[in-house]
Amino acid sequence: MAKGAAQPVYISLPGTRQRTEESMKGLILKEFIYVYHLYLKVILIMFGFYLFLAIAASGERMDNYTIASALTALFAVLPLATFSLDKASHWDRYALSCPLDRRMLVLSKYIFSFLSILMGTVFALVYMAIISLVQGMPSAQELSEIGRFIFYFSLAALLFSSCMLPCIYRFGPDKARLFTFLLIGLPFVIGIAVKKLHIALPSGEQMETLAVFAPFLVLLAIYLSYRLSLHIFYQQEID
Amino acid sequence: MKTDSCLSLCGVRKRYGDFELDVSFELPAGCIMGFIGENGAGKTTTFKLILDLIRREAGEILFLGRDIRESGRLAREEIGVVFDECSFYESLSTYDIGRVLAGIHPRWDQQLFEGYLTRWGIPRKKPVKSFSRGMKMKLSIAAALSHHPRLLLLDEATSGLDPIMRSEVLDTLQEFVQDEEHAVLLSSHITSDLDRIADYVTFLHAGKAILSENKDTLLFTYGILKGSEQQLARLPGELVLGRRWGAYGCEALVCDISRAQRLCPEAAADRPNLEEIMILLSGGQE
Repeated sequence: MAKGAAQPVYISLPGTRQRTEESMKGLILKEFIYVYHLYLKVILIMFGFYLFLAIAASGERMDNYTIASALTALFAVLPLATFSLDKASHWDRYALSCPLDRRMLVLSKYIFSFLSILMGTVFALVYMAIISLVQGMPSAQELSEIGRFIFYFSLAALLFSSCMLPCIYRFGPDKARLFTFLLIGLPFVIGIAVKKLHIALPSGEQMETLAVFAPFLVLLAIYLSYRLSLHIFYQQEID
Repeated sequence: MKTDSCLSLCGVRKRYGDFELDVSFELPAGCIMGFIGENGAGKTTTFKLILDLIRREAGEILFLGRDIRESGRLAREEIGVVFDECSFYESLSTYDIGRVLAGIHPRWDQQLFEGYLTRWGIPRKKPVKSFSRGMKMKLSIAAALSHHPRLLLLDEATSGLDPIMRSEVLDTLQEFVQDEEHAVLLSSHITSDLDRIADYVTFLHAGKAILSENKDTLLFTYGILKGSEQQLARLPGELVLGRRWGAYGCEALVCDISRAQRLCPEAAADRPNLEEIMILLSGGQE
């Protein structure tokens, strides 16, 4: 080939999968660096504060479950915060000028959401473990309750994220905050509606069956949410 | 398309309401192209079309001989981009940014990145929000260069920089294209920068690429004739690219100053600079 003539951009596809995985690492690392710089202190302060309250007040374990779940919920809204930071710095515009595609950007947000909620779950378990050390080890039944409560609350947080993320892609992080409040309020609205309309609640057996299928339903919701977010993001023109 | 073309836009169109972008130009390897036009001419829109951030409605964009959209992210490994604003969240430090970009770019060269940081005195651990505008721009340029791209796209990257920093940046761009394998597309209002380093210049006016020419041809073959309206009326239409009327007469931008002087010997003739060409092309009447 003559000197100065253009070389082909790429010859073959080997290494594409490795490139994808490596690029994803950079995207997810960015999310955690945001969290480290901006939210880690807040999270640790809240964790310490509620731990102190729980130990000082010697509250019922159920109150402690609630606080532990609130810690999980705190992590569930982190993706909304990182979307805002991305928007402020026009990150999407820059990211799509790098060897990244829109699918990778969306997938990284979903992976980050999952990892955030996983972190929240770990925090909740650590919180409960410390409470147990101070207040005495729970019985086997209480341990089982704690585990189930935190597990199903984490599933609820995943469901919440799966509803929130397409809203963020469609309306942007600022307007999506309104939907966040609606989503948080929805269970209360449903509860009030059930009470007022005297709707019969599912029986214990039905609830047990639902509980078995809940993880699969949540996985399905996450998948559908991801496909919807991809569809929305692919249609958008980047400013 | 020339065989050594790095970037080629042919009949690329995009419409936003009343505004229609229609641009064609070719950037050879080993060259720096200045991309100039008034505010709202469509320079940033053109950059976004090249990067496929927005969808073109017609035309083709070829990078190293291949359609840039089909090449996708593998083409973007070869492209470094600097936007007019720093694209990194302000609480991140240079060290954080290096880690993130190392995880994104398969060909990231951390040593090269560190070299630019040292050369330009960019701190590693301070957050970006503490940097001056010039420092942020240098960081963006360092990030763009540190994955060994073939093409650099800079959108108003030198705006707001002091002359010393601009000179350093321009020197870096000239080093970048020295090996004849790389190319730079630089959009700027600072025509003196393009006078200094550009090999080619493309003028964009109201969405249309009205001129794309070798800079030396522009500066030595084109000219500005100054005289009365009657004098300049003798110039044929194909020679005149733009006119401007002032209080004391008329100015005309011509594409062949020698021929224009023979036709209008009484008119005063000057070699133009890029700023004058841009003003006459943008604001003038044909």
